[in-house]
Amino acid sequence: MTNRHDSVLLHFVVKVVMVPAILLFGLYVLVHGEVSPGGGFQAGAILAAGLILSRMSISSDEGRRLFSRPRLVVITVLGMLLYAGTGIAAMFSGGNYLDYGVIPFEWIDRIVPGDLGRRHIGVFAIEVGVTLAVFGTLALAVDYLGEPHEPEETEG
Amino acid sequence: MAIAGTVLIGMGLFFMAVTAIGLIRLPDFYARTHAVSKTETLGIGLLLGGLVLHEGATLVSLKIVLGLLFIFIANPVAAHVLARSALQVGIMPWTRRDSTGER
Repeated sequence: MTNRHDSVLLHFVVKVVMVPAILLFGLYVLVHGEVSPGGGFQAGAILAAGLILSRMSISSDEGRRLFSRPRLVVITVLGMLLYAGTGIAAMFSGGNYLDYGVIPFEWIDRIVPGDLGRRHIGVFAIEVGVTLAVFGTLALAVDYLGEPHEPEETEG
Repeated sequence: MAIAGTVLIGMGLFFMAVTAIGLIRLPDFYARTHAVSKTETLGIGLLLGGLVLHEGATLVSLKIVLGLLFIFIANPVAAHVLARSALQVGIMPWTRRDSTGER
């Protein structure tokens, strides 16, 4: 209880039930996106919703420090680079952009053997990239929209 | 099983309708919050319970039950927080005298 607007009930439920459940569900949507409704964008939106909920309802600065604005920018850019890098990696070995089947990484065959192994990992890398980018963008957008702004001075 | 499920869904729809009517008809913020939080939690519980009965014991049912638990926890807390912050911001509860105009 740091100020009178903090509710013990809200604090407890958000911290113990809501945010862990939302983050877990976001990860589930991410890794299950190929075989059920969901995927990168939805997972990113759900994860960002968890972060935004904790920021709105808990007034401690923990979440703000862990996901500060520079870090969110880094996360967004990393996601985009992961997406573009997966696509370009396929081009290096003679395929088209995002042609997962020819991604030139031998170690993938050791993890997921078989014909579809590289496609599997490729699609998953794309999804992780989209998730990171959407998560960072949404969290940043709400962060900037939520800050108190001073009225602009009118000229003339 | 299917009949019981349909009955539950029908009752859930009834409570959701009550929620909608209460949201439109009731006079002030607190009364509306009260109507929405209680009847909607019960209505959605009955509705999803009916869906579970229709589905039987499958993975889909498990997911519905998890969603139900989440709503049962989240909905009352949301209503509590709304009413609490409305009171702290200074919204006064409606009384009968307000409606006649004399204070």
